[in-house]
Formats: sequence, C-alpha cells, structure tokens
Amino acid sequence: MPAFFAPSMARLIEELSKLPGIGPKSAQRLALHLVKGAEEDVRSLAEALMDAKTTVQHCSICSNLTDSDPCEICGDGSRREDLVCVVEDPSDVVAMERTRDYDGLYHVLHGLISPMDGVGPDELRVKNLLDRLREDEVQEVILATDPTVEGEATAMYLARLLRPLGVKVTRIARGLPEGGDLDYADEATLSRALRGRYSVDSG
Amino acid sequence: MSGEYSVEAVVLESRKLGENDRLATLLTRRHGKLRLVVRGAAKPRSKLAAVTQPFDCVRLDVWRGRTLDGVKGGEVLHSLRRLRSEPKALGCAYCLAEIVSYLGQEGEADEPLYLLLLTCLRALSAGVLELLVVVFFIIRASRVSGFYPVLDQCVRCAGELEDESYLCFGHGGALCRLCAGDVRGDGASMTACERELAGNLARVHPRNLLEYEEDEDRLRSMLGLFLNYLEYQLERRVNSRYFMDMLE
Repeated sequence: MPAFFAPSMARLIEELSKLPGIGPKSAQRLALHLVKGAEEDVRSLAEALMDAKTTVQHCSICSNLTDSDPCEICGDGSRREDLVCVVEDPSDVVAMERTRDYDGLYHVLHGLISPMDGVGPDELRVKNLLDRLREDEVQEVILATDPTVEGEATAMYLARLLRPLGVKVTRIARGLPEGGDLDYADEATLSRALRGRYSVDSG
Repeated sequence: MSGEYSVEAVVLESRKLGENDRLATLLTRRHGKLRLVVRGAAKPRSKLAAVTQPFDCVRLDVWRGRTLDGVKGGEVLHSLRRLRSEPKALGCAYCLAEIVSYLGQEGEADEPLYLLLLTCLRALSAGVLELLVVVFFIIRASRVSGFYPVLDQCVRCAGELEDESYLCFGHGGALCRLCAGDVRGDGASMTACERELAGNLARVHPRNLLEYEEDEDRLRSMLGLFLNYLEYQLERRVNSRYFMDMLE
C-alpha cells in the first residue's frame, strides 16, 4: 500500500501502523492529517513523544508508570499503606482511581500469566511484589486482575504465592453491572452474581 | 456458507484485539479451527464475552466478514467453569488447548479431535486425575492426527521389543536394542511397562478414565516423553507444558 506514497510518507504510515489498534487505513489517515497540519503542531507532538519516552519510568515501589520516583500515589502520605491493589497495567490504576473509593496503594504487574504465549511470572513484576510485601507492613492484597481466564490464572497463582506471607488476600467481586437489566445479563455473569450474593442486613 | 452461519465449538483461547474487541480461536465441530472477532467483548456489559470464554463448549451465530468472521450471538452448551477455578486442571486445559490449536487446521473439519478435546476437558472438569487426562489426550491426539508411534514392534526391523527399547522420534516408533545402537538424534528410552501403558491408554474408553488407576510418577515420565515426541512431530514448542506444575 505505501508504494503509492513518497518514501518518507510511506515510512510514517508504516511506523504509525505499528501502534496498537491502528490498521493500515487508520495509519494512512493519521499520516495525511499530520503532513497537512501546521508544522508547530507536528513538532509539539514529536516533542511530547520524545519527552514521554525519556522521562517516563517505572515506580520503584509499585511499578506504575511515572515521571518521578516514587510515583505520586506511593508518595502520598494520606493513603493507606497496609492495603495494596494488584492490577494488570497502568490503565487499570486509572480505572480504579476514577472510582474515588479506593485509598490504598497499587502494584502493577504489566501483564498477565499467559501459558499459551509462554508468559509466566518471571515476565511480570511479581518478584517486586513479594519483596514489597516482605519489607512493608501490608495487611491486605486485593487481586484486581481481569475476570478472564488469564486474569483468574494470575490471581490463583498470586494467591498461592502470597498465602505463606500471612497477608489477607482478597479478589474483587464479579457480577451485574450498575444500572444493568437482569433480563439482558448473560448466564455466566448472572450465575456469578448469584454465588456472590450478600445479606441485605449486612449491606 | 454465505451471510450468517452457526457453529458448535470449543473455545481454545481469547485474546485482546484493539481497544474493545477480542479475537477468539475455536475448534469447531464441522469447520475445523476458526478465528472469530468478538466485538465489544472487553466492555463489562458485553454478552458476547460470556459465550467465548476459553474451554467452554458453545454454539455461536457468526456473521461473515471480509477478512475475519465475527460472533453475533450464541449460547454456552457445556460450561466448564470449574476448570477455571482449579489451578491444576486449568494448567492442563491450557496445554490441551494449545496442542489442539497446533493440530487443528482452518476450514478442515476434524470431528474426532473435537470430540477428544471436549471429552478430555469434561474429564478435567469432573475431577479425573489431571496427569492421566493429559497423557491420554496426547496419545489419542497423536493417533487421531496420524503420528502415533509404533510401539508393538521395532519400527525399523519389525523385530520383537525387549523390556528396554528406544523411542526414536525421527523414526516414529520404538527401536530394539540392536537397531537403536547406531541411531543418533531425538528420542528417549522406553520400558515395556511404558509401552504397555501407552497401548492401554490408546484403547481405553474415556468413560473408564475415572476408574483408571495409574502411578503418578509413571504418568509424569510418560507425559514428558510424549510431549517431547509431540513437539518433535509438530516442530514447535508447547509453551503451556511449563505451566502445568506452576499453577498446581
């Protein structure tokens, strides 16, 4: 496809199409938009890309992406240090923060165990988590990986690994979405919700 | 097939595709291996995610796309949910699914392989000894796919095998001591007991697996041997073999 474009344009399309979720057609559209746009805007984008690439690093405590080490969340003294929520990637931290209901710390694994792809605990930030739990005074670890098979496998593996450390290990609940209609719920979700029912007295 | 069609299948894997979609790989009963887009599966309210969970047996309504077809709707025929909450069974299910993803061919129906996979996943879900199920599966899958090794006589000279023999991967069978003498390459020694166990598992009816009693150490050694043999025949590594013990 890029053969019909000037070599520099073809290269730009090729580079853009390497991005996740960007196919050849979208890459072509983005490239055309960039070259048609003002030079100042393109320079600003290029600078932002390079700036992010050079300054963003992993937090030495929670492994989240940050500009400063430790990250803003780990350095926030008002948060509960005895509670750690384990998530798959940085976007999950953002999702949890949006709830404004959680005031503990995080640990980002940067992936999930995926046996068929040969991705095991060594490829994830599991060792950092264990070191952290041994050193810090963490009382509870919340496993908030996706409710997929890989997410469950990772949660099961971590639960087994963390049990001997004497910390309370919990898993986020699964069930019906807020405002959802029971009629439209699938069997698996409804069955999960039934098993996770709670007494209304206890709230 | 034009427009829309239905398939009965076992879901082998489901991986992220773009922001909200997933790509499900299935072994169907009538159309072989099939890859389907599951639009919006990452969203919490998606009904399609629940019908494309790995290891479930499902019936799916499929729309036809230009490059990939996609899931329109469907239902779970046999949910093997228990598999997903039992670490050891889950590790073994991954191994089975990965092997099938290599053996299954797109567009080529392989009902015996489909039924074998479904039977073994159900056995895992029913609590049959995991090691036994995986060894049984590999032996039967080798037979279904046409590369079950010759174990009742020397594959080279057709002579009788003694207690100790050599399973030569390249020759596709056991070699007697004499023939094994000058053979180099991939393989491993195999005792008469192991050959007998392989023969029994190649014949046993799946429903009798629950009552089948076998020494775990012997099964473990058989598992290593047959997985190595299978990897040699497939010319690729079975990644999930290393996770069976890890998830235990």
